[in-house]
Amino acid sequence: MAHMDRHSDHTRGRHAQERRSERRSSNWQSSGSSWRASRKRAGAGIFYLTAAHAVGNEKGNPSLPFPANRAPFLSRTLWYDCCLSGCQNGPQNEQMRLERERTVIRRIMIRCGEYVSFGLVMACVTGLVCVGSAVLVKEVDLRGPSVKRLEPQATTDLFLSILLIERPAERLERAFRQIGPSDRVLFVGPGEEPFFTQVYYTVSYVAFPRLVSAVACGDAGKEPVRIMFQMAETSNIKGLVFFKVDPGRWAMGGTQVGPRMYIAPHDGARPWKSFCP
Amino acid sequence: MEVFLSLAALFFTFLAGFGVVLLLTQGDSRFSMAEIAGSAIVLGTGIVSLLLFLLGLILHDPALRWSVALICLAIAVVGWMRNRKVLAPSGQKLRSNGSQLVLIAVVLVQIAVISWVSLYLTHLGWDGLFNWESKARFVFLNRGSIPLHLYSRDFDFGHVRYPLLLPLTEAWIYSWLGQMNQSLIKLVGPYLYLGAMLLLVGGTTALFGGGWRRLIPVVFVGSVPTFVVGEGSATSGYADFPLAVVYLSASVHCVRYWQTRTAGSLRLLGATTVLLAWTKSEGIVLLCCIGAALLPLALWERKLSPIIGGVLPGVAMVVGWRVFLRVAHAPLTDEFTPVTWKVFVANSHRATEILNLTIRELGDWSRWSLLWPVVLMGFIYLAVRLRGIAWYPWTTLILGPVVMYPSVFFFSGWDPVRSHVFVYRPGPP
Repeated sequence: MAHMDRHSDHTRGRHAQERRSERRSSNWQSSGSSWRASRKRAGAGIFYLTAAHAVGNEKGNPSLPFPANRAPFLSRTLWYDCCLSGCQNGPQNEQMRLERERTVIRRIMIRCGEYVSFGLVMACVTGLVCVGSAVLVKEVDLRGPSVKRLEPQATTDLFLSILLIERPAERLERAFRQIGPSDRVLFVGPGEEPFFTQVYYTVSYVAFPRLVSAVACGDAGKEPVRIMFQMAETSNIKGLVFFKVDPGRWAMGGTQVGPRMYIAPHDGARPWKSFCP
Repeated sequence: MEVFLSLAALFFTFLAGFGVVLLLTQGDSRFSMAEIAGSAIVLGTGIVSLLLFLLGLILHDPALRWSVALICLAIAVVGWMRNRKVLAPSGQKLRSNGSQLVLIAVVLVQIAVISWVSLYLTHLGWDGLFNWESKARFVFLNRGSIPLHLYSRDFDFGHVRYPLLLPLTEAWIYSWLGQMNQSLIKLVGPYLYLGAMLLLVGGTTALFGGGWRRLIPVVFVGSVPTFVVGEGSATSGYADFPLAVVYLSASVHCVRYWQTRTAGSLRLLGATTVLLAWTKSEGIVLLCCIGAALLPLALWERKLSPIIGGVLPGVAMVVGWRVFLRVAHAPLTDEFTPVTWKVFVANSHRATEILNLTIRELGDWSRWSLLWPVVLMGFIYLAVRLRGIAWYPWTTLILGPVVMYPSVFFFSGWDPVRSHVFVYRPGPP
């Protein structure tokens, strides 16, 4: 009887330990160390089952009988795991044996869950890397300028590339030197030109600290399409920038910046639309 | 030589941030090297830009440059002397293992790719040039200080009301170069990307433990196209990515504060929220999200310290910047109407259109890849696994901007609102 009691205590202790282990395993996400431990347990478990299976098969171990009345979905492998983990002499008690079967199944399911979640994470990461790489390759045109050419005015030159000249920003800066830094400048261009705003903004950027307003001309003889950043028309304008517009008589004393732009000094206040052709 | 000088300029920003982080984390040794370095990168850019702005009112280059450099050095030395223990309290922090080496390799490869793409795609983009770099140019031409007549002389192009963290960081590089170089200032993007990586690694380690899982966020962020290429990415000249990094830093410190309740986390959070509104006007929205994440703590513990320490510095920056704009007579813009209940009700008919546009944006896989489905899975994971209300700060900090950003368009001054949305979102309407 004393032996039976000790065996029963031992079994209860093992059950409690297993339950604690399961609880820890199910909470693996809550801390890094338990997660790692769980992963190690999962790896060890697979090895253990395989080893137990092999031993059972090769030696025909008589101490590990495979019962006919097992749970229908419990494989021989799991049965050996069940026996090796606690009852070396085979199940003495049917209830205990069934309980152990359930415990092993639960443990396997938890391990499967871990592998499935790990697989999902890996699938997501792989998907992200593939999509990201595809977009990167698509976006980065490898036929572009070389890294060796770290142009100081790369963006400005790009925005002024419509002027069809080399280093347009540098040439524009040079042309603006004939106009004082505190003077006002008027940008004149065709209203229907799609690059009007882009070129006007870039010219304003290059011309800083000179203040630049703009008049977008309509068709010949018609009213301007729009006027941007209007200062008083009585303001004294000291410089004129003509973009894709014939400067006519205002070209005198000015500088041509490529085939599409002309910068000329000016002095006086006139109605802005008078600068349109 | 030019690249070296640009990196020297960025190194001084790092020194300033490093010193400040050491000073703010005094008495708290729970921070990892990655967290300290990541926070130093973020805070450093803020400190240098604020110093340039304030000292620029009285000094000009080269005195301004050397004064700021000396202050950066002094902050680093004082921080080191006061709190050097935080760097190596035990050999544990310096011990390396397989996962750490792989992590370092992955981060280095990503930084190399981002730097290469930044320098290869040399153009800054529309906003990068006109809204941000243009101010750096004006500052450089004004010998290092912000020209106040920029705000009062009808210089309406370039959104003069925008804050100055990015332009002044770029101007700091120009100051060291002695010339303007639109290509080299793109190194700011990879530099902040490094900060983001370090914060992700440090934050993940602190919150979920070490091991291989630290790789997941690092690979994850590097694989989302909108973070790497295109308008607003780390390789563009836009302020969107710097704002995202500042928000990431604030989020990491906010969640850390939720977890540890340490004064060091709260001080770092407060210092970071200052930079939200200093980086971009939209930072106010993100500041509200940080406030919403901290509010339950303040209510639960019945004390105001989380709000005072974590949010109030950011609010002070918002107020300070607005006062400056008013004093400088900066012109008002009509992009947004005042945020009132009456306006919200009047524009409530926009809800369907805003919702549709938001869903369309979030579902654009060519920009966001699998980010949002994975975030959704992450929420399910958090809801199942985290106990109590530990899920709350995460949910607020991630979902808050997703909800609040589109809601801003209820107060848009544009009609139809669709055209305003597409100014913010690149692509065909």
